[in-house]
Amino acid sequence: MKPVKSVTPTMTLRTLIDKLVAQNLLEATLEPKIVKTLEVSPTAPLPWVAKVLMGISAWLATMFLLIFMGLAHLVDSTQTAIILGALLVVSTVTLQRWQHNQLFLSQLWLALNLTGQILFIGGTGLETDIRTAALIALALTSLLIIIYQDTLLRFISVLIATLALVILVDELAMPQAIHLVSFGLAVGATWCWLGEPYHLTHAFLATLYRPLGYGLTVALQLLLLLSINAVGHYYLYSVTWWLSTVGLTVLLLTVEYQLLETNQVNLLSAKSTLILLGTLAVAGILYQSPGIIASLIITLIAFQRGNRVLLGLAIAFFTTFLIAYYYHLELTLLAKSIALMLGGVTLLGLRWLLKHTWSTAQGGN
Amino acid sequence: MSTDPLNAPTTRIQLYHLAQTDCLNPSALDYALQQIGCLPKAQDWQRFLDRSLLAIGATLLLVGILFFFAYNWASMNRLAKFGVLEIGILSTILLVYRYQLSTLTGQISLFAAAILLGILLAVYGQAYQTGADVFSLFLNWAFLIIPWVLLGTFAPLWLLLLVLFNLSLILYWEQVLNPALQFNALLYLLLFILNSVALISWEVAFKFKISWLQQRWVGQLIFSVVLLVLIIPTLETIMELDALEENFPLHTIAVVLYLVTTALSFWYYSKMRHDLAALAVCLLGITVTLTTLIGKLLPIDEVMTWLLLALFVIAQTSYAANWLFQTAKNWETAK
Repeated sequence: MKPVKSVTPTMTLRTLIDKLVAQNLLEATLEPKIVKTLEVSPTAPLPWVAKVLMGISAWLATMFLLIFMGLAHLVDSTQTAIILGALLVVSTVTLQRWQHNQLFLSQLWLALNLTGQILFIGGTGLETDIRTAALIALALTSLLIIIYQDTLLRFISVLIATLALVILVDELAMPQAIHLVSFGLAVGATWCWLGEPYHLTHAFLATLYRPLGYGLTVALQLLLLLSINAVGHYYLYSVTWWLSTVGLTVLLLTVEYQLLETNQVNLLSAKSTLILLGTLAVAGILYQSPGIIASLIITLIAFQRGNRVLLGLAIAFFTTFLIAYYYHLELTLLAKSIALMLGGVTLLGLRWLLKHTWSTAQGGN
Repeated sequence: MSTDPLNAPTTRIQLYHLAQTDCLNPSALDYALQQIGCLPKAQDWQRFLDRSLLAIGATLLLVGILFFFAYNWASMNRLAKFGVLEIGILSTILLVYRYQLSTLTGQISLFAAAILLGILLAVYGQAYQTGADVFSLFLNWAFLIIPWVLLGTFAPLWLLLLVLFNLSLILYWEQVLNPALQFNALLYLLLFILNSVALISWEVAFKFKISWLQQRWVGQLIFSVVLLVLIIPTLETIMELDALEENFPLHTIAVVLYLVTTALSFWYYSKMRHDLAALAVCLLGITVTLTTLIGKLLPIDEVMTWLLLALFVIAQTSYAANWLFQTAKNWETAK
């Protein structure tokens, strides 16, 4: 399950450029430009563990700020909450654009922005109704994703937007629309990650695709936990989740098709047929568990992009989903156990068949 | 050492930077990433598919079997239940013999045998209503799989044993000793001893390059548990300092151990064995304990305390993130 093992860490850029030129992927005349570009070392991104730490602290600080405002009676009516929330959001957007290089300040703006969002959306909800608040949350987070250049805020905004969409689906009594949400999230995550080389060469998308990709991935998996237990949501409780499995299976097959093509595997070969048919069989057996299919999509994408964090997320959610699956209210333990055992046997059988096909294709054992 | 950037080893960050500055098009970027081993080649995919299908397939099958026996199907008699499980254990052991422990198939088969053994013990307790405490199930299970763990040379088996010992200790504490809640500091200290022994063993194995214990996530996971079982009594000490009374010495030991462990971990994971995730866990622990301590000790009114705590949390994590960034950069430069 490790991403990629055949690492060649000692390959110099000179050797690599020669290879790229030989493959007609790079013009030899670009070498001076490359040297000039690399004269200034590219800034390494903040390690992901540091980002997780900052994300946790931002929520903690937001919580403390909200308690402070409540105790200090700064927010004594819904109107005050709306005005103060709007002020905080607008001012932090402005301040962030002006000063975002210092970690302390960018964290402070982030916490204040989140506080502002909660006050504004919460105030609107109390003043009008939940439906309006969800629509406003959707519009606000979409706008912030575009204009607020902060990885963490963009990631959190995707989660808030998804929550707003789920609330809207529930409020509008359109439970089956949840499948469009899950499909949209999965397509979005796939687009973000598989299109990585294209996004990197695009000025705007280069800074946007990563937080968006992680946000959509996490939102998708959290949403699919509802397929196990949606108690408390009157309409969502009646969702037929196999429809989500259908959508996700179509996407999984598309991803596999694209990966086979990228790796120059003949689509009519026994290997390709086995993989695609095996996917259909597993999806058919586990049709009431869209979370497992979603985890498979993320696993494939993560490996294709050599992204260990994404792979870790896929494994973590796969495990969480299996543990939560025990409490699936719609199915008996017997039905769940049969589906899981059949799914497992199918995957192991597929492995055996693929091994056999590969060794035959390579001319023996 | 040459200063020509073209003679230095290529990194992913450099290639991303070149793509962002229009030096590499998308196809060239992916080809380059594949050449330096950041993206998989066809043979990597083959190995990955093989391992993933085995791991996911075996997991689904084992969880399915676990659910099946948890269902406690009334139509299935005791003999059939024992028979199915014993055949399962025998089959997996035969698979170990067939594929050997040097292959992943052999290792996962042995892991499956260990899980099936636990299910067999649970079914035995269920069928004969032995009345034994649940802790004895986990403890017997742990002792019975020790030979397999020693033979298996497979990290997940080793982790399973550790989880079983932890569960046995916690359940023994709750079900047999059942002491008053304030004596829980002793349980945390016992858990600390158990997991520290496991962590030190793993670190030694890692240092001596024992091939099957080289996955860093194993060490990071155990380290997080070690720190967590010290952070909980430390927070209890801060929050309920006045109410601890006769239990005070145990809490003091826990606090001292937490401080010493954190200091040692900083030294070890930044100087001896570079591990950014372990350092981040240490920093998160410090943020939580220090924030709680300051919240408790600040001699100002409650309202202002919350505002100051918010600022304090932001200041701490900004410094921590910056320190992690610099540390990672220094390690990269020193390579």
